[in-house]
Amino acid sequence: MTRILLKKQLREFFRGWFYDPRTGAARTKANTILMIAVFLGVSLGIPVAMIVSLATSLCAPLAEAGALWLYFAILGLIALLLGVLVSGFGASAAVYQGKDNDLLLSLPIPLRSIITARVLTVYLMGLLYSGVVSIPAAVVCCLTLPLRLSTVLGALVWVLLLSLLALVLSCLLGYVVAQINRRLKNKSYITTIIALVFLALYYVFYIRGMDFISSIASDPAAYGAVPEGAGRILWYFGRAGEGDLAAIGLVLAVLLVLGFLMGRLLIRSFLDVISAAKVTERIKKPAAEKASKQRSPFAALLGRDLGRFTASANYMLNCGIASLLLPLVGAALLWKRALLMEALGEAFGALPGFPVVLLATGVCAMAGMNDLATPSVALEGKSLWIARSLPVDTAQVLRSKLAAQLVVTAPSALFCGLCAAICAAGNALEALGCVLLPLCYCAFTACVDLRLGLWRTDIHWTQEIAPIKQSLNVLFALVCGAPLLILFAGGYFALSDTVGAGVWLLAMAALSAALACVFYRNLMRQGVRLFEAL
Amino acid sequence: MLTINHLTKRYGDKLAVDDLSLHIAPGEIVGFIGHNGAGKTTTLKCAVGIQSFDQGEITVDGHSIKTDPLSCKRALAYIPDDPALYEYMTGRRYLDFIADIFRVSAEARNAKIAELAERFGLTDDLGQPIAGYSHGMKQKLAVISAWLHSPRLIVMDEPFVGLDPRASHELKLMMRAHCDAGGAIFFSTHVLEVAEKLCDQVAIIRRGKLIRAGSMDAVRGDASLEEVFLELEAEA
Repeated sequence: MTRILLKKQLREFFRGWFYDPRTGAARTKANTILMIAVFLGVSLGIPVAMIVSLATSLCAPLAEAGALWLYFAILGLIALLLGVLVSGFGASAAVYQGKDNDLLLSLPIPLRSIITARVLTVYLMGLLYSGVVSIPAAVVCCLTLPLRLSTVLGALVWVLLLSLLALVLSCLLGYVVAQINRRLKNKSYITTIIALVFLALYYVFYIRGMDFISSIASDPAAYGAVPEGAGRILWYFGRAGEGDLAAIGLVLAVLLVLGFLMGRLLIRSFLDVISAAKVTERIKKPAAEKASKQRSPFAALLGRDLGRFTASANYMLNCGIASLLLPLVGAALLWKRALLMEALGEAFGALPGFPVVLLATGVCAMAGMNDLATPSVALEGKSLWIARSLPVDTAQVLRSKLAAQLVVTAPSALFCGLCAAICAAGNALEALGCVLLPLCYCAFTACVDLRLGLWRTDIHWTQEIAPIKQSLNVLFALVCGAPLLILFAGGYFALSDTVGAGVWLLAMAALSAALACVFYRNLMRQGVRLFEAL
Repeated sequence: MLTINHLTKRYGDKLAVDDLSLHIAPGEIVGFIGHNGAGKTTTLKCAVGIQSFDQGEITVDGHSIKTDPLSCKRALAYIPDDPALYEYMTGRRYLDFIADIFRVSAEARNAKIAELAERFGLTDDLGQPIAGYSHGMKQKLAVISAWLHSPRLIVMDEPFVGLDPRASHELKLMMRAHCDAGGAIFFSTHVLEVAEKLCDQVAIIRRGKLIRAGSMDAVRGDASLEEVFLELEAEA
């Protein structure tokens, strides 16, 4: 039974790679290989390169100092954080919110089989993202140290142990989120806030961790001693990576016990959580009857799209996080203005105006993290018939999706752009460019994101997280602006002798606006046809 | 009101609807019956502009669904067999959304929502998210949204599925009243007794082909609709 469900879950997870979501037909082998190669290249290329660089700088010095356990402990913690952050907040949806809950529960399937199959999705997500760190770290270790069977086996076991630990922690996080959802009214906002707190903690850890790693690299022997207290746990974990059988046995035993307890907790809570999701809605007092005001059809569509966005913590976290980060970064720019400008001046003193170009590009890069237009098409799901049967132009439906992304992103980008302009304290032209460029870039990314959302759209998902987080469309949406960003900064770097920063920024704003127009035109023609063919 | 001329729709090699022609006049309730997979839902979806078709012509109130879909959609309302609504909205917000799209004034919508919600016993639930609604409640909400903007033509796919007896009764009364006021209704059903009592016209489809259509009396003669339907199935 469990095997059948596991196969079903695997098919759903990898469906997009092997089947065309629109026609349901199997892809050709070449097409599948291309898809996987592009996915791995685009999503994993840069992080893997960063990890390889970090691992290379740590592995040899720590091994020489007899503190290889610390190498595995540090990289393990980074891998764990990444794995848990990415898979943890989707765990609640993955375990509890399947659209096939009723169907599966009505069949003679043990609850543990359903949970096991659901947990597999969480495991794969955790493995994928913790693997971005753990696998390169293991490979670097095997290549750096003299090749021994124990080293290779130890590194392999360490990767697996790490993925299991990420699974346990993700499930725990999913359980906590589900319990919060059961009890609170504004659940999507609360979940988002909790996620942001975790994110903030991650960045604190990251910044402190980088300082720590720098100091280790300079004096590894000082940190190689066997720690006492809580640090001992890390030591065992690191020793497992070194291939120490006793440490492997101990860590594995602890993980199995934790995994067993977690499984029991999920099984015991499953029915309560999925039935409470409906009951709590029903027992609330009816909302006060308010007389409605008439809105225009476009305002109604925009309200619908924004309502969809704010109703889902997953959607807000994965596709709208930049709206929160941009004002924070803007405020930080003003706060640390002197320090930042001094550092930029020292680094790029020979390139007048480059700091303002760099700041404006940074604002654009951050604004580009918002991509709510991309999954908005697939999220229509089974409700697509409503938009299709109403007397609204398909172009208007698409325009409302574009507007939703702009409403969510542009104000934050404008604020951050203004802060960047103040921080850079350039001339009026530079300030204007610094504000205009992010706005035009927002328009460009909104159009491209929506166009990507209409590419091979899969509206037959069973879990909301699939179109929001696991689709190739979203992945491409996150990186689609990279060439333009490279042009913004790299182009000025090359041409700073012949053109001023203000003129350059305005020219790039014009280019972004022109590209936005091109994509908008394409949306209104080809995009409309694609939407109508869904 | 609704004219379907030589409608043909294929899914790949499979012929879902084969040269189907049908006319629905104002004031008529037309029942559309056929076995599972006969092509009923495909025909209804083509009629309301959700699905494209390969050949033929469909007009609503004289407007072509292909060349002027918005005019057609302004004149009609559609209720699918599985009313998947926006689960993140409350019932009230969903109705407001539909009313906004059809530009129903605030006064008119408030009065109509109050009346229809009371009729279907949904008043207390309108403030709740649709995610918490049962299938029947979603069906009731879909019915209310269909009547909200006073469409001339209402197209429904299995509208009685999931409704409780009281709501079914109310819906039948509303259907009759709608047609008495000059509107038209085209709906599919498997409940032949309902079709027999409610419909002015009936159309029977089999494997995508319209095999019998006309007034209820003309189609069934002295037999019951069930007997006629089974006989036609057996013949084919």
